Amino acid sequence: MACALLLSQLSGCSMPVCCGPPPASDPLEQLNRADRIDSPVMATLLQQADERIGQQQWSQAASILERALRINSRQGEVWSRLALVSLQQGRFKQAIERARRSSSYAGDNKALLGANWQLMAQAYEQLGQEEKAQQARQKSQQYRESWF
Amino acid sequence: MSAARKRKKTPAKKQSAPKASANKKPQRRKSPARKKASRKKNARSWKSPVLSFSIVLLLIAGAYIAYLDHRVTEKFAGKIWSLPSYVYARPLELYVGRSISVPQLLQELKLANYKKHDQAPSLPGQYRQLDYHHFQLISREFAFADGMEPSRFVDIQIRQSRIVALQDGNSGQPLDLLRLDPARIAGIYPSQARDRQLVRLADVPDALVLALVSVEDRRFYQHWGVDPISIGRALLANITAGETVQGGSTLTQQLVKNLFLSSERSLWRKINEAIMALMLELHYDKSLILETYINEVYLGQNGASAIHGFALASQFYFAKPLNRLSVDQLALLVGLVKGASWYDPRRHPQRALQRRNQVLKHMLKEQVIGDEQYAELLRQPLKVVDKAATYSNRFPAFIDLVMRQLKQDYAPEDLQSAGLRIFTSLDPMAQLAAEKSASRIIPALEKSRQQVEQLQTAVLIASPNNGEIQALLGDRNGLASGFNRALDIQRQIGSLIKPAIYLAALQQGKYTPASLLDDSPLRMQGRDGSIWNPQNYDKQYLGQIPLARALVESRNVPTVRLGLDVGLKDIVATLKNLGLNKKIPPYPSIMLGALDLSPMEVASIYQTLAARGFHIPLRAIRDVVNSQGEVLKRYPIDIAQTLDERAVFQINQLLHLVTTRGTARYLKNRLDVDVAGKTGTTDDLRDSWFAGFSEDRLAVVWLGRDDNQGTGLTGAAGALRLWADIMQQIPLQSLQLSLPEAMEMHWIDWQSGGLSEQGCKAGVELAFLPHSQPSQRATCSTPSIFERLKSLFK
Repeated sequence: MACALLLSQLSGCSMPVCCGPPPASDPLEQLNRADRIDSPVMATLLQQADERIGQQQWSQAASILERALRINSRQGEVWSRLALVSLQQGRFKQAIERARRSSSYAGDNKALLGANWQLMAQAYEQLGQEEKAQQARQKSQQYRESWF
Repeated sequence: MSAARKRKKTPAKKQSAPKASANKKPQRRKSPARKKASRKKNARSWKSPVLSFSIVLLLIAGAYIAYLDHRVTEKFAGKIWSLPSYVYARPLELYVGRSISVPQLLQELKLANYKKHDQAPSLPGQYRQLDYHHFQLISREFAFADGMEPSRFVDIQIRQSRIVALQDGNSGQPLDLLRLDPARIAGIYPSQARDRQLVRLADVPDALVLALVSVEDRRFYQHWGVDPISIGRALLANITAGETVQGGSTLTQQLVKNLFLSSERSLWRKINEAIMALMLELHYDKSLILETYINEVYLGQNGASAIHGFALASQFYFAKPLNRLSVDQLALLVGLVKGASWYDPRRHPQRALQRRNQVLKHMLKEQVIGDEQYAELLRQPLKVVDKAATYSNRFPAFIDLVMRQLKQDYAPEDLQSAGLRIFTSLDPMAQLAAEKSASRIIPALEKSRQQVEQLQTAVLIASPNNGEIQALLGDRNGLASGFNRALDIQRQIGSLIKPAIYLAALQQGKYTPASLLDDSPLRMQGRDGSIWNPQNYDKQYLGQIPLARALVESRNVPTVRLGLDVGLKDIVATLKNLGLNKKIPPYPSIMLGALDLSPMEVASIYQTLAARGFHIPLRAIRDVVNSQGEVLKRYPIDIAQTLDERAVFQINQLLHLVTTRGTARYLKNRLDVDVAGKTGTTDDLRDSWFAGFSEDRLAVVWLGRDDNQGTGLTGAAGALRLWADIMQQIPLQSLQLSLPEAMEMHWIDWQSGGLSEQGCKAGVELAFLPHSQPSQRATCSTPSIFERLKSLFK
């Protein structure tokens, strides 16, 4: 249910897009596209976490992601998934903070930065902060454009 | 039922009685029928009180039996036992590339109760060391909060303190990741301190059941809870012997006694026992009663903790699961039922051996074993293992913290009885390193200052990136419980406060790392007329120096000037944003650290710096799981960006310089990774502090005396030494100072704060916001001979 809500809202974020890649139909897919994981350990854990996210088992997904962070805390991809989990759990402020944390480790991974802004837009929207949501959407769009 | 019937009859009798007594008209002649009625009347007149009394008695007895019945069924329908809660350390993650030395792996295996074998491991919990670097082990299956980790046979190779190969032991296929079952570090027991390990009847060896029944209650499967034949036999034996030599209690009666009644010897208790045993047999089948008995019976004492049940006793005496015991070992355990203390095989091995052999004899008599086997079993020694070290409170300071955090969410009764499993973040590697360092560095420091056991310490190690506390020392002796200095002391923090002042200044935008500060005598007058004359530690003044240098060299006077300009309000706000959650007195003296904090509070502040402006509350618990394996509570990462990442980056650069050219430059040659940190010293050298961090670990060390007298140690001479010794023992990731977006690096002259050429010896490369670098240029001067000599002797 929450996933369906998120998906419908994220597809609502697609606005008129003139350029850049088509918007991901699934936030997880978008994060997958942004992945730059080179460690097999991280890849294994992210795969496990993604399976749990797919099954909407948020708590277990969070446990696996936190396990991954204990092995490498600088993995922006993990933080962004934690942001996604918070969003699904209705912890919108935490989703914003985690997405920020992800961005602080994103370096030049523009796809990840874009995905994080999109998650933040979603969280701001849920918090009723439309102006901030709009700004975040624009940022996300900018990254998507500069990505290509 | 019969009581109910009687209750129904009673009113009818009462109704007929008044009718009869009401007929008081004189009767001259009595018909035979009347005579009969009259006789009845007379009979009623003496029978009715007896009847009434009997009825009341029966009612009371019925009610009492109903009460006993309720007690029996209530306990059996619900939880029969209070299950203690267990606390676990973090599990050890194994993967190629993981930093871990061979001694550290051995230490972890020992703590997680893995046993060394000379042959290839055949059971979970066993390992073999093929050569110094090469291990094989079978991990134990374990239910973590995020799912089941299966048991695995693995092959591990370590070279240069790093895992270089991790493979499936059978197929040789590489494994990505393996999580060992965690060490159990504490149990939270009910007030009677009973440890438990439950076993299902189906998993109990047949030989144990047969031995138990043959020795304790031969007619167990025939009687109804009470066995008159056994009672009669026991009575006869006791009369013949003139003392109590035999008991006639059935297993059911013994169970009733253990579960519900006291051990007093009275007739009343015996009656209760018999009634409850009958009730138990009425409601439940023999197998449940037997299973309960097997899990309940008292079989020994481990310190303050009672050993109940055969499964736990099997571990306690033989360090093996019950289903792996030999028949002679099972016989020994059955023998202990009669008197676990009297026949204690460790304290009274001869007595225990005799008792075991008696049990074997019973087994022979009941044809549980044959003649040959009997003869063979009699020759077996006791095979009882040495008592394992009990870790009931191996890490007292850490467990104290866990308990404090748990008590915020759980009632003490639940912790003691609900069989919770508490997964914590204790990193045994870090904890044991801290204990080891404290035990060797503190005496050395005392010796060098001719002090005798006056120094105390507190150490806290945490992961700054998820807020998990990995180690905690509340006393110089890691095993000492009681006063938890890491949480409960409140001491002035001295120069540990300086990063907050400089951070507040950088956040205001008025200052950069190259801004010049005035290091010249300062005299201030308070509102009450008092004079404050802050001094540098070396009593020297350097004139105009760059802000960066003032922090790196921990200059007091320029810091006070900076703080006065920034304003106490901003400093207090910055401390709050750093995570200090307490009332801060707005006095100028806080700028030199006249602020009382605990090591935990200091760690909270430095966590935010180490995590680049993201504050995460420190915590020691990851998950709480109930006895069915369901997650009751998770303690997730709760993160909040409270400070500007760029200003924090500038501060962290300076704190790194503290460890290479500042007050903690001792670290430069001690550690092979980059770290950042700050020393702290208070008036009269009362407190010696060091707070510092690598990429993945933050540690705060305090040294001082409980009587708050001087220690003779600065932060650099005391706490820093202990900090370095701990950090040197544990794997550390080098601090990564990645330049945030919209910042640029410039070379700055250490003396003048002007722009210097790249690579100048007297220069440092620092981060600036765009266009905030100094405009004046400095010549690339090498340090003067005097300065070079001075630095040599520092």
